[in-house]
Amino acid sequence: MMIRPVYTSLVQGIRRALVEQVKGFDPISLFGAGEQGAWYDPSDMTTLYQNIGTSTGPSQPVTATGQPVGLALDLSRGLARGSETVTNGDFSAGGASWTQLSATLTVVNGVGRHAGLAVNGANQNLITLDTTKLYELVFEVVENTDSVSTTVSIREAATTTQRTATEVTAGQTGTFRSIFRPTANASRVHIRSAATSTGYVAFDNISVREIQGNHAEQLTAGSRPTFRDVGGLRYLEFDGLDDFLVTAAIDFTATDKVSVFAGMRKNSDATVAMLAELSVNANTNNGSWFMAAPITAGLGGSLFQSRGTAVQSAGGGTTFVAPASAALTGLSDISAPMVGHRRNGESVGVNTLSQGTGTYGTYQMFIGRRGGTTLAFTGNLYGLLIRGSLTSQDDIVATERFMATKSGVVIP
Amino acid sequence: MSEYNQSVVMICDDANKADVNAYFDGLGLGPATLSIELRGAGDSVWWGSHAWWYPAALPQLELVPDALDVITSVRPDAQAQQHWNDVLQALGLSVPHSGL
Repeated sequence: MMIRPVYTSLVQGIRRALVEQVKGFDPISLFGAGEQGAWYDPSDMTTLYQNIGTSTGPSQPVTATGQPVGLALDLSRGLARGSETVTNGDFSAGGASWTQLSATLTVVNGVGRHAGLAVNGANQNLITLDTTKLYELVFEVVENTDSVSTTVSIREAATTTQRTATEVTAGQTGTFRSIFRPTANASRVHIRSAATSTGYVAFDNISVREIQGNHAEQLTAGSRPTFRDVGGLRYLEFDGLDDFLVTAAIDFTATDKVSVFAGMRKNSDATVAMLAELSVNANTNNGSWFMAAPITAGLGGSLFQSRGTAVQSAGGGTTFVAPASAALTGLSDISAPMVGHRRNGESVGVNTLSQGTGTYGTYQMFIGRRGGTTLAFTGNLYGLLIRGSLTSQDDIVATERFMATKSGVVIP
Repeated sequence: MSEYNQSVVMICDDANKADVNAYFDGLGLGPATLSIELRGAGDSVWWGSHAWWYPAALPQLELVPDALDVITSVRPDAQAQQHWNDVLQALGLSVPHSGL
């Protein structure tokens, strides 16, 4: 492998920028042209949930250190919501689009009164969703005279299979939210009372909208990383055993370039570990990449690897030994061959050998474990940003400083 | 507030893996609780998991059907990897070596 010691123009530019103050930098600016990618920031607790909504309950936000993280929202799209999928969720058109299933729906003063009539009664509203996307169900309960619970869920249109069953207990009012992934495109909002229902629940502003982005999830409770808030730093702790997050497939086919930034801490070098990887194995899948640390059991180091149709990598070394924190960067261009790896603002390798041809592919991205099965990462993740483009020298410096700050690392 | 401070290691043999995972999935714990491939005597295949549970949830472990043959170890406030390594050592199991 040929390692060019100095990737001259890139490094000189970075050094110039290093002496400048990075003021007012917001990583979301890296996605201003619609670049494909993702940005996870555990320091923003509003982006973390213990789980996504399931048939047994709604999503639960992360509120304290020590809680598991089953969903990390991607900030690269600014948490923008998609279009409304519920027709007449605000009952402005009376009872239109709502179907009564052994329950009554009466629109009074612009809100929908659901009464179960003591027969497990239900009302439903058919909606069209996309099983590859994440949605947020929001609804208001403005009045509640019922003596038992009422459940609002998203069900498949033709079955009773449900997601994000949200329970409204007797007499409870307020705004309810749950993030979920549907099990079918043809779905329905389903409001169901218990057989012992005695009153009514008045609903308003029932909404189901996509949360745009490439969000990272973990459906298995035991494999969820742990949120920690220690010494002013907030992070996801991976146990090096079975913890990981994974996205739905991300379409990177419009680009053959990528920039990956991570704020991380290795707690152990005992076993080789995968910090982040596009596809289940970037050694064999064309158009993929990975960032790994450590790269040799017991010896430390870090590595960024990319593959068009041929694997090339940069990095390595044994000087980055656990426990140690770092802002890591991986840069790659398939068509103008270059793989670069930087650690704490300094280049640790540039490789300009051919990666073959093609673009990056459409794959799931795994965080903390290869393919969700091996090479589990032991350490902390303070931030992770993936951008389907090369990044300007100034923005590399700014992003590395951003990740370093989140990680408690000082870049000179 | 419940604290997730109970280190829980679970092990089962390859023959029971699918049933064990289906059982925990039925409890709402997700589809792949036991996902770490292990090797035992005679290159036999076993599967393991590590998780943090809160104390009030521990009685669920006692309800796991005996037929599933799940080996369970619980340590309050343990260091996860130390707990894991101790259990594997006691059972004569190891994680197959993987490289990049």
